[in-house]
Amino acid sequence: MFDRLFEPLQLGRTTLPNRVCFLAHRTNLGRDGRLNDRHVAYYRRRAAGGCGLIVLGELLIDPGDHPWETMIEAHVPSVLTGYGKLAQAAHEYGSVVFAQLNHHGFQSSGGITRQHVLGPSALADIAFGETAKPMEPEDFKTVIEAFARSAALAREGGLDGIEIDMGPESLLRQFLSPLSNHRQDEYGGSPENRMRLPIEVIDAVRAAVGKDFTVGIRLTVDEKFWGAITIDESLQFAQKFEETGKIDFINTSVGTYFNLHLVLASMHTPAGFTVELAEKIKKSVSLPVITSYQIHSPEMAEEVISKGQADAVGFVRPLICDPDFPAKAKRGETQDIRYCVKDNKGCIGRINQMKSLGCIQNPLVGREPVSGDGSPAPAAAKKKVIVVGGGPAGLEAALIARQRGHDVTVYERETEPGGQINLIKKRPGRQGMVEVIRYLRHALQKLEVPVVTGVEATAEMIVGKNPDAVIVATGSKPRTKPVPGDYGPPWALDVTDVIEGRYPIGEKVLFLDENGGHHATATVELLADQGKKVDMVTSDLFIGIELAAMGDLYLSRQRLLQKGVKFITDVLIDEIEDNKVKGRDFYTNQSIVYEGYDNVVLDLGNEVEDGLYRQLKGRVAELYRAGDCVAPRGIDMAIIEGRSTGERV
Amino acid sequence: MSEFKYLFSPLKIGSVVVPNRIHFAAHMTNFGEAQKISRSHIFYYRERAKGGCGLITTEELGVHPTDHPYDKLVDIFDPETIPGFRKLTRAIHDYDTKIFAQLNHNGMQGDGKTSRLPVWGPSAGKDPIFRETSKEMEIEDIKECAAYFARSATHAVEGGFDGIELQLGHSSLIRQFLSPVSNYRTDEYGGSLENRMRFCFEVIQAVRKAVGPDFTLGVRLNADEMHPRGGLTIADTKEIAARLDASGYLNFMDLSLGTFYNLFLVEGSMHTPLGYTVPLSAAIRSVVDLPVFCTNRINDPHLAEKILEDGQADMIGMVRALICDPELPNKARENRSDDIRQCIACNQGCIARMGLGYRLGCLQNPAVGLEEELGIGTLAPADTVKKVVVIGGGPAGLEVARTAALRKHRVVLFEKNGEVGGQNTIAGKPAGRQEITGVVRWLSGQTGKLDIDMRLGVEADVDKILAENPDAVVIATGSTPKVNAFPGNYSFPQVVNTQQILLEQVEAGERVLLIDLDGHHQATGTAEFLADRGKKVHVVTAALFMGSALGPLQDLYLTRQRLSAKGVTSTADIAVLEIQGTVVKGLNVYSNELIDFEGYDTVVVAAGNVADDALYFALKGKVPELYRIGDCVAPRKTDMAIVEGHRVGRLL
Repeated sequence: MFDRLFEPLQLGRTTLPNRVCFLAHRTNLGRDGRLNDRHVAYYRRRAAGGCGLIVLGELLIDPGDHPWETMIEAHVPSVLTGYGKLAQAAHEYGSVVFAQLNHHGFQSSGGITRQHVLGPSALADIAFGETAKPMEPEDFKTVIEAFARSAALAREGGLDGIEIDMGPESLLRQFLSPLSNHRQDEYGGSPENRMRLPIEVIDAVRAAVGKDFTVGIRLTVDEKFWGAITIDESLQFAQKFEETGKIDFINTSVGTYFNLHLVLASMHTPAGFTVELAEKIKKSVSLPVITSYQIHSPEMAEEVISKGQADAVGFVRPLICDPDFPAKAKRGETQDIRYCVKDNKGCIGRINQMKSLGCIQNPLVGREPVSGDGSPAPAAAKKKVIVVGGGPAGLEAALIARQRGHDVTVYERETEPGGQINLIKKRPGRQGMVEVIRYLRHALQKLEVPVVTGVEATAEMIVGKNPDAVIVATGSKPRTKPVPGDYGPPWALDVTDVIEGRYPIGEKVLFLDENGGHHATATVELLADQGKKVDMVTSDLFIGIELAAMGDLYLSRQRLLQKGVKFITDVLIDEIEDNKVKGRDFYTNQSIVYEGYDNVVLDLGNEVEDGLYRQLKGRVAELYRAGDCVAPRGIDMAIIEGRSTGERV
Repeated sequence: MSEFKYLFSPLKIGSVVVPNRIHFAAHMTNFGEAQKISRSHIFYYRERAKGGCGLITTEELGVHPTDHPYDKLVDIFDPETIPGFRKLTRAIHDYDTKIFAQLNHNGMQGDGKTSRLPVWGPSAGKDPIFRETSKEMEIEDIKECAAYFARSATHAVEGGFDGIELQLGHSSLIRQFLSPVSNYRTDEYGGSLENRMRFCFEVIQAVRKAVGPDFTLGVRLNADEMHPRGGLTIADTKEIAARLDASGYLNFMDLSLGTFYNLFLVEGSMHTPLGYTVPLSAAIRSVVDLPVFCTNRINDPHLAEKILEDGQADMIGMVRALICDPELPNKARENRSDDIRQCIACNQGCIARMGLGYRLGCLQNPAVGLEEELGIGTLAPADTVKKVVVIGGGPAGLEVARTAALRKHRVVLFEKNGEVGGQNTIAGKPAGRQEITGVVRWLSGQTGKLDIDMRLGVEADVDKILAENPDAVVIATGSTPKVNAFPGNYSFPQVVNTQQILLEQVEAGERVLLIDLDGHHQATGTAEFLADRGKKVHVVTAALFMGSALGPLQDLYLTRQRLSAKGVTSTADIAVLEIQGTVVKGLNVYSNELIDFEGYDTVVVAAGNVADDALYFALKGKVPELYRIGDCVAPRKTDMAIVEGHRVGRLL
């Protein structure tokens, strides 16, 4: 299946075995500037899963450019050992590895280097906020030499090619863009001048690696911002870069730091929004063109290639989530793919908080085995395992236990498995989260694991079945009494009441948000979509405090404000009484009373449903607990604990 | 004989005698590598021993895998850490200084993002910073945790430490058990004080048993949570302290205060009073016989001496004071107090960098974390004496002049104003910001003692510089506020910048709109400066909230509180598109709604600075060696001015 996607592709001197490219991204797995065994294991697993190309990111080419700690020092010969291991691991599976060389320019800070940052002009980046030093002639020399030195090392280390980054976080894009390049000299002004440094870098890299080595660029083809690079201008750029005769491919990207919701697009951004831009570039050059972002399925990738919109397709999150995506697609087993839901919490959210890369669905990210495919080891003895709760934790635990050879039955008290995913999917824009459960149900079905629904498992029933092990994954529910006072339905509701439509809701709603994430904002959006006038109150500094790291803040706030929602911040809730909510300003301690609302909705956290666990304690041979019934957290921890429990049982 | 007779008297703490009363108390450094002590740690702590402090307590050391709130935590529960501890303790014992290990479990003041495990707490609760609900510890978790404390204690003994401090302070599981704010248990570990202290005693007993009766063991007790909703108060902690003392297991009682609900008390900035914790220490000391340690905002040996003399504490904890000047103890003992580089509690180099995940630093001391290369005794005289001309007497220029002169270069410094200070002087104008000028007070004091030719009130130009026939020129000409930062038709004095306000070059009208692209003290400090002069101030910012850069400095809460009390209001999420007269045209960056801000008498702009680099470019190629440091490279903060001044001072 997917004949075009799995056709080889010639990029310069390199033949990709197929058109699936695992593009450059951060992993935060680096320590002490080294490319280490965790990196190798991480990429090796994606090669084993069948991707054609791996582009290695996070490379540091100039000691003056070190925006975050976990970068790999690619300008010193010590990187060669790591390159060798990585190349060997990838080549074993037929995958090709390119090094992405980048200088971040002023999208950086001196927090680590204790030096100034460089830029075309004296501007401060929106994320880092540090004003750059406009580059002097000697700085150009430093930067160009840095690219050339690292390029030579990449070749020496046995990698297959180089991608020069002119993408959303690069000095070279900063030079190309009139938004960030305000120079008056030969490096600023006209498109020719703005292209001067990028072309000097291409020349130097080509000179460093010779003619018989693959070199391409990652080009931002549209910054989608006022006064920035447009597709019309980047068509010229692409043609001029091609005319140098020194590059072998163009990988396209979109956006800047001003619109990270496009660069790190979540499920709220439409699928394939970049494809038509790639297509325009493709039509204006003869070089192979790669497109990426939000191409989530093999069907879509196949279509892009067969329509001639691009020659190859870049994937990052889909292969983080399921390294075997290419292999499964090639076999036509698309139902077996664990599809990325673009929740962004496990990957981008963690990276932005300086944690190692993760994935809400794939608990093995960053913990890949050095050999093998990470399948759980078979159990020493087959056990009869009962799993209580059909949410993500329970289903993942059941899957792993079954894969290890146990006899597993899942009990779910609702008529549908899914747990809180069944609430999440009813919120506007969050429907994509059902994939978490679809995959697990499909996998369990293939292994013929019974999932008994509509049955509330009691301690007596479980003990009566005489299991060898019980895994309790009974989840959590909204807190029953989060603040003092005498209140409850039908006036004071919790989020589940709202989503399930358990009570009629009036026109004017006060929503108390101590969640700060989609749990709150998407529920409010549901109410706003029903025509309600909603005032959101939080003690946080702003609404949506959990959304920023995931790149969902901008669009969420935009939608809510445009749907008439009002944001009230800095308020602590003290009491709810007589259809009034009493609070006070966190800073001034002035008391505030909210009244005149038809309903109040409380999103003040969840509490564990651990009754069954406590009843079973000491009554069964082996007892485990996973997910929200341990402590209410998120899907990522539910699946991690589901997996680790399934491995232990 | 030192003028500080109490400060430099020895103290017996359990089985050890510390030579003086200066304690470099526990604090985060982010120097850990692979959960172990690093080379940076050893040189960092050794520098403070060299500088003469009597006692060092390490940063918190993690006792259990469920506690991993930040990447760099050192895991003392892992026996692999012992060799690193041995190296550290041997390095300290080369000096007359003792070193204790602090053992801690942060409980629910953490998250599972690194450990990928549930966080433990006495009850299910959510810390305001980490925002992750904890697992209510089961009895087997409680027993396991106490056992891990004991196991970790044996590693501390094997590591060569002189004592152990158990953390019961602002960030600790044991405090969470002690406090009714976080402990809602209904079993024998919750409810009555006796029950809430049960876990604490189990840990102490387990540790005492592990280390034996003679090893020095103490606690760091939270003396007052100062929590708005019923946390531990000093009345409660006096009772706790008395019971801990009566148990006979302990040898000292170190103190802290506050929690993550009020970090501005835990890590008090210059907006909190000096010695603000002393009354708590005095209160605890009145109910226990154990030696009591007091900490927080004691940055001066005179204040320390007074606290000891008045019997309010037995040991004086200094953290930021010794980060800033490791030689504070020696300088005080040698009656050279005026040479002490005093901590100004700006929190920019230390606490803010911790909050952002960087290695510890200091706005004033560029050697922090780099002691091996830049520490005491590393500044060697230059091989060739040069004539060095420095242009600009702000922090960058003064630091380069100081460093170059110490290396015996012949230094001439030109400053166009009648006095040194640069923007540091302006930064000290708003209420509560005066202490920031300590940067220049110390630098000008030190440069004044050196043989430097200071040309104040002289504006340097190319000819004047070349006339000096310099071997090297260092340009430190700083930066100036951006002019015409926004499009539109407007002019002075209706539209002014923060410097013009703070230097009182213009009197603002009654109603002021302040455009804040800064997020730092420059903007909020100017708003407060105006409010203090009776103006009605409204702030617009494109950030999500006013004071967006103040959070990591622990200055957000009090600043917003003061501004609210002084009638300052704000609108967030506004990008300013243009100014016409005094009408500011804004765009809500989320909703795309266009909003006019009008009816103001004066518009004050905090829109950043531009480098004053003309002299640098005019000199380029005309002198044998030319350097550029500080804001005239790129406008940043004082820390970078000093780092670059120091670096060039050593390069010359």
